[in-house]
Parts: sequence; structure tokens; C-alpha cells
Amino acid sequence: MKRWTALLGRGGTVLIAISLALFLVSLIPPWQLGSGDGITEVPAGTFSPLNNAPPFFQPLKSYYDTVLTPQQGVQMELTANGTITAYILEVNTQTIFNWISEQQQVPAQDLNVTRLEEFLQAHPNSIGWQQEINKETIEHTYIPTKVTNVTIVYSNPSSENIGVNHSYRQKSFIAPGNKVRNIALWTTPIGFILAIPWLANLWKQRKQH
Amino acid sequence: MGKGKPFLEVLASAIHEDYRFPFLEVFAFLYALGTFVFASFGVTITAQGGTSEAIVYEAITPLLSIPLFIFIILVFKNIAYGLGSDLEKGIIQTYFSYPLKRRGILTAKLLSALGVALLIFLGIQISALYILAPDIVLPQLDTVLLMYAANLSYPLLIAGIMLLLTLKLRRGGITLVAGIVLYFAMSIISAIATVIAFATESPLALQIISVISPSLALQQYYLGIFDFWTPAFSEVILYTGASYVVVAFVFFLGYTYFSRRLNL
Repeated sequence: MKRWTALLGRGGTVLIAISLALFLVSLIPPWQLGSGDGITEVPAGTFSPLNNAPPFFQPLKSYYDTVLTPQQGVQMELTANGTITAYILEVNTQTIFNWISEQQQVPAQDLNVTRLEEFLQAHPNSIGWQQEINKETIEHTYIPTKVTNVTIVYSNPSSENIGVNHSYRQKSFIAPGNKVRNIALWTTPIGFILAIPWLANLWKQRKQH
Repeated sequence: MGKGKPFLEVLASAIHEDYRFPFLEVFAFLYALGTFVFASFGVTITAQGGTSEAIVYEAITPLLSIPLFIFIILVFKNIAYGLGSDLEKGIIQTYFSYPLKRRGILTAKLLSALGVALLIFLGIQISALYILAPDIVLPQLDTVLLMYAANLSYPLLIAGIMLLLTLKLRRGGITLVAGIVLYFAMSIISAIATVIAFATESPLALQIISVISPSLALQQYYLGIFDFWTPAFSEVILYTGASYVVVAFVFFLGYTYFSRRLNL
């Protein structure tokens, strides 16, 4: 009985120690990995991945492609001067272009909006987030649940050319704060329940000696 | 009295000695903190074009760094100081009065020194992986386990050598220093082997190192740092298996010495 109390008690104190570490981890603020500001022109009836190239280099394309983990997120602010749909896709841009090229038997750079729709129909799981922007500014922080490639794509099915201003900050978190804090909140009381009989025994023994 | 009870008695006594309050708690705290803090440097942009196994490799490598070092310190402390002081103070002789074979006593001591430390290390690491990247642990469990097996074989080899030294010298202090020197010597030896491999454009030196430290072969398999050596997956398994044969042999020597040659 005494041995079981000691075993459970030490298990409890270990749980408390781990919970304390998790609490500390959840308190560490995120830090910035990278950022970008700019504008992406999306011609009528086409789609375009977020273009990182500076405005005077706009004919050049430098698409936003990255790898995110559940510890990394992208915080973004998007402003459109018309109605577009913004997507966060869990693939890289090359995958989209390659698919269009292979499946649709059209040049890879065919940015017709229907090509994107076809791609999304074929890969519904690749949509991490989507939102319609109607002459407004939206803010969103995206943190994936797995290690994944990520790209941001704008779809403009309208008959007008639309410019989308973007400002994004890629951030790294020590751990998914809420998840870690919740685990710590659950394990701490369990640890105390397991440890109290053993700690009380220990206290009694010290007092006797 | 069956053999089980004396074995459990020795095991309980060894655990009590090796993990006095609050040693276990401090190490568990450091494992958890080290795992989460260093995991954040996880997947880099290089994983973008890589296979999912390569992504797993890049995600776990930083996760292992500090906790593995903490694990090694804990194991070294348990073997060098735990077993060393038991030999110095004559506690081992007391165990010999138990109706238990010598190898049973050593197994109980090693289960406490290595087994419990390994259990906590792997428990916290795998749980952390599950919290941070649930998609990694289950679908790529074989890669995850191979990584841990490859990275743990060299620390286990040093633990085996430390066991031999502790039994021979019957002192903890010198053994502890020897263990730490051996651990750091591997990075110097690996650097020398890399220079030789580059100079000769032959992977032989790296292959020899991989027999005792298969993490090098694993790194080469996933990241392909050297052009002149691309080990196949089966080759990595072979290096890992060979390294554990070496580890098993060193522990076998330790058991043989403890059972037959240790005059106490």
C-alpha cells in the first residue's frame, strides 16, 4: 500500500512538473519569422496567388509559398477594391499550376478562374480557409493543424480588374498556446490528487524525524 | 519466495535511490520544457520540396537536441553515481544476499537507471509530437521510431561503456567524466570523418562512424549532404541494427563481468 502511494505520488509530482513546463511554454509570446506588404492585381475572370514582388516589378511574379507547422501561423490583413474570394490553400503554387497543366491539357499559366475551381473541386481538402472580400479589409490568422505547404490565392470571377492589398506577418509559436494550456489545466489537478497522499506521508515522516 | 518479489525489491530500491525527490520531477520538467522550446525551430523552408519523411526528419531533429542531452546526463548520473556509489558503499553486496542471480540484480539496476529515464524521455517526446504535429506521429510512426532508434544508439553505447568502466573502477566520478568526454568526442570524430570523406571522396569513414552512430546515415538518407554517399533505406536500417548489436555486445560484456568477474 505504501509503495503504491509512493508510485502514484511520484507520478503525480511528475505530472505537476510537466504541467508547470507547459504553462511556462504557453506564456512565451510568438516571434515574427517574416513579413510582406504589397498589392496583387487580379485581372477579370482570373485567379492569382499572392504576389510578393514590389509594385514596380509587378510583371514579375514572386508568389507567396511557405511551409507552416502547427507552431507557425500567418497573420494577414487583406483589402480589396472589388469582390474577390481569398483562399489559403495547403499546397504550393507549383502544385496548382502542374495540376492545371497535366489534367486540363492547357498551359500551366492559364489563370482562368474556372481552372482554379476545377482544381478546388478535385482537391477539396487543400482549402485551409476561404473568405469573400467585398470592398473591405479583413484580418485573419491562420495556423494549420499539420505540417503543410501554404499559399494564398485570390479568385476574381467578376468582370473588373481588382487590386488586393496585403500585409502578412508569419509568426512562430513555441507551442499551440491554448492546447498546451488546456493540457496543463487538466493534468495539474490530476497530479495534485495523485501526489497529496504521498506528500502528506512525506511531511509526517519528516515531522517524526 | 518467488524470484519476482526480490527482483521487484531491488528494482524499487534502485528507483528510490536513482530518482530521489525532486530529481525525477526536475528532469521531467526539463524534458518537457526542452522539447517544446526547441521544437519551435521545427520545419524549415527546405522541407518544402521534400518528401513527407524528410519533413518528419526535419521536424523531429530539433525536438531531440536538448532533451537527448538531458536524457544522457540523467543516465550518466544513474550509472556512474548510482551504481558507482552502490559499489563503493557496499550496497551491492547487500543485494547479493537476496535469492536473486547477479544478472537479475544488474537488470533491476539498469531498468531503473536506463529504463525509467527512457520511458519518461520517449513518453514526453511522443506526446509532444502528438500535440504539436498530430499528422506526423501516426502516419509516419515508422520514421519517427527509426529516428529515435538511430539517435539513441550512441548514448546507449556510451552508457554500456560507462557501465563497464564503473564495474571495473568501482568509482562514479571518473566514469562520469569519461562518459561526458566520450559523448562529445563523437562530434569531433564525426567532423574528422567528414573531412576525410570529403578529401578522399569516399564514404568509408562516414560508414564506419554510422556503425556506432547511425544517426549520421539517417541524416545522409533524408538530407543528402554529401554527393558521394546516398545510403538506401535498407542500408540505414542495417546501420541501426549493427549499432544495436554493438550496444548489446557491450552490455553483454558488462553482464558477464558483473556475474563472473566482479569480486565482491
